[in-house]
Amino acid sequence: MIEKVLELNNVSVNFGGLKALSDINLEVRRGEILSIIGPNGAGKTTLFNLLTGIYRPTSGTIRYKDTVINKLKPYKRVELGLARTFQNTRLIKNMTVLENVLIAHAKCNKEGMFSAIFRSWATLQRRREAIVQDCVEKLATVGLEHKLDLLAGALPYGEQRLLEIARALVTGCEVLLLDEPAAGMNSVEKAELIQKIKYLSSQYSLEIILIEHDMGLVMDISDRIVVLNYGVKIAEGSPSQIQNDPNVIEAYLGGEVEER
Amino acid sequence: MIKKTAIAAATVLAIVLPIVLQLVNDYLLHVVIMIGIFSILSLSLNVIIGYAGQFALGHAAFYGIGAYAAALLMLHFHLSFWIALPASAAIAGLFGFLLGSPVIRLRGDYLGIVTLGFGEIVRLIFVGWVDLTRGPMGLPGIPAPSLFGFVFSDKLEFYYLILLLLLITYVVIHRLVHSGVGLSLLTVREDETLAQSVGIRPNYYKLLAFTVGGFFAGAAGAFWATYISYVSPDAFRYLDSVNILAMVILGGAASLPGSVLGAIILVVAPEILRYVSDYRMILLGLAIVLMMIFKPSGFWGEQYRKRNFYGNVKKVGNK
Amino acid sequence: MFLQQLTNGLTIGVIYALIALGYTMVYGILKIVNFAHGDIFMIGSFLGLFFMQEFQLPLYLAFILSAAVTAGIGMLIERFAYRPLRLADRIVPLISALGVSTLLVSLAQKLWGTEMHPFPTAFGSRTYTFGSITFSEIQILILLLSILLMLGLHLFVTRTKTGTAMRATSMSLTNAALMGINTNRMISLAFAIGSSLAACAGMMVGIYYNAVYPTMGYMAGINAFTAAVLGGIGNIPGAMLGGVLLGLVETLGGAYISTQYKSVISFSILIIVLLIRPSGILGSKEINKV
Repeated sequence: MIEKVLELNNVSVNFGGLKALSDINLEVRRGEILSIIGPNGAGKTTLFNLLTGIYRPTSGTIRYKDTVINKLKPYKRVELGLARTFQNTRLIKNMTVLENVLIAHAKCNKEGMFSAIFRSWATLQRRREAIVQDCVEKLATVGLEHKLDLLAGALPYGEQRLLEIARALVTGCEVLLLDEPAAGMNSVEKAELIQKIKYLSSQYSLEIILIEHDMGLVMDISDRIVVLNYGVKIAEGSPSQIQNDPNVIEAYLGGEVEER
Repeated sequence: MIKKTAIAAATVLAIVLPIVLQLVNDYLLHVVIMIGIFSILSLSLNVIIGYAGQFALGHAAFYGIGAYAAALLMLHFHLSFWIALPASAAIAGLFGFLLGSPVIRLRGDYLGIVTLGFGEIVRLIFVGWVDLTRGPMGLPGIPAPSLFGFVFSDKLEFYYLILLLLLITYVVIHRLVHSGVGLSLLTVREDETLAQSVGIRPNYYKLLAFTVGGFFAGAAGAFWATYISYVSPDAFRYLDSVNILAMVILGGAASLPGSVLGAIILVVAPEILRYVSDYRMILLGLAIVLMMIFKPSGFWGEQYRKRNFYGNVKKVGNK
Repeated sequence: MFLQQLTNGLTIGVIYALIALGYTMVYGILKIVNFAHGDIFMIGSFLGLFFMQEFQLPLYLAFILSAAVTAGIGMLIERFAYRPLRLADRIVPLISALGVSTLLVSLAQKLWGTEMHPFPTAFGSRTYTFGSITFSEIQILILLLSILLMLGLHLFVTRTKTGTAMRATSMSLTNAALMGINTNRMISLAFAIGSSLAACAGMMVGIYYNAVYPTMGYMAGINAFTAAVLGGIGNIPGAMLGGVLLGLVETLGGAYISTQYKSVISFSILIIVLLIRPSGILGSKEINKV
């Protein structure tokens, strides 16, 4: 029995007259790494926004572990275990690397007002130390544990994207949505990223959904691939199936099936 | 080492200075008390504007609500100041919550105008609801606080009281903004969509800021009522809101020592510049514009803040 | 009685419309609310008074001069208090505007004192009556002039090259720049036009109520902003519509409900609009791209 963690049934998203996504049927299986690919404007980030609750579906249902989550606000979905990174990194440039991760830690951002004001200093410090350790551990998985006090804005671009991943991880998520994590990386960094993603998937028992344009990376890392074009799913299957799918090749206009 | 000496020195200064001042000129002590009041007001507004990023004008309304509430509780219900104080603060905090609720989904500029309008309406009520507030004539004869039979009568006693209130306010707000709550507030301020995406509920935190801000402003108002023993609508006009805002800005948004600094500057400056009192507001307006152009983060701004949440955690990473 | 109130409401409405246009034009391009706009209205009023009292100028000349000088002041404010801050956090120009507002009010208080000044005009109490409605001379002037000005603006914005360039700039600042439009000049123009309209409104109010005082921009500003939001902020016909509607509602409300809490009525409208339909009557909904 294939266990479906996330399931979309006939989901459509319309903006006024624009159909961003039409009748999408999609599932994410336990433990898999799923890639969403497609030309620009196909609706990939829209799909992410849909999954995380920034957009509401115009029709259809989104199920997370048998619960319909259509109406849940984004912060609620984080509590359930869905976390994401952004295509254009959304870091708080004025905060340190560690702070940027702390804000996503449930125990930190749920620290109560009265706790903060009235609890004994020793208790608070003890709790906070544990939370900080947890954050540092996640930062270590992406290799940023030595840059804790640097302002996020001072990091090179590739590391900023890694920071976003650490931040999503620390929410304690089960489904991790990565929006173009390899953008702006060179081939060395991409190779490292592939290893990191595989490691995260097994170490933390995550499902990972990836939006990517680098086909080499996609083919290497994915268990399955879904192809979108003009808001419609045009293909789905294993990497070798997708590579040979005529619809996919046509959609890319004979383009970029890069060899790694 | 240096820090402990500094704290000791500051404590001695805080205790001894007013006595010295009073010997020189009673009025100087009044100025220091006013610094205390406006420090609390500035700190309370900073939570709303600096930490939550809500451009709220009309803060003087909470100050006024606290003052009138204390006055009415002490005059009509004969409550002691020590009960009226927290009660008034709570009432003002409640109004903060009530004002905040419809307003938090508005964007910066709209929020400013609406809160400004709210401030004006509160003032109009102070002036217009004569049965309750005696309108422009105000409420005189508010009793001074009394402690075990000893009635406050000297400025020195009020000084120690406001000093205590300021310390409490500072410590509470400091602990609050350096906690996870503070980080959440800052995140909401910087990027609401991001906040939502990491599990923070923006509306909750914005409301929290409004409530806390209103609460402490109300406390300052209660003190004002008993100190001057008279409340009238004149102390809570739009210009007073702008004054408090200017203190936050000059000192530095999201900077607690900055708020106190701003209060010191804007209470002392008009006293020193008495001979140019005509130009006071002109200079203030100019100062605000120039600050925004050249030093928007204030004189003791956010860049000096200790790391929120983990600033005091001893073992961070592998250090 | 009702028709009379309608007329009065219309009169105040077109005045609100003129001020609201300033808010909406600046907002349309820069996406900020010019907090100081109400005080520019006040300055225009004082300038008109000044020109008439000190130089014995006739009314029409005072209108023109006041509008011109106020336009200049508006452009100066934009150049020195807003333009340097265009790239800063959104809250920074707002605070700067607040500073400008404080500056303008206190300057006016320094120059002309805090009391109310009467407006010297040759307008007697001549009235014209049609059926149950009575127009005073002043009302006719206000209505005619305002409609003329609004018509002029509409023609300018829709029929001229510069006007179209302005509309383009308000749709997208970056795209307009890419098209070769001098966006800085468009912004200055928006401020100039908005300020001169506000100055005319200021003079009208001064004459109509026979009172000019430094804090008059405060309530008028909030009301005009409400009108702009009601009609759809950023939208020029919206500002005109909103102004007239607000004037009518406020006057009728004041007549049939209570005059004392008139400001509460218009303020409540603002809250309701912002909560229910923030894009206003003629405005379009913004889509948030993440």
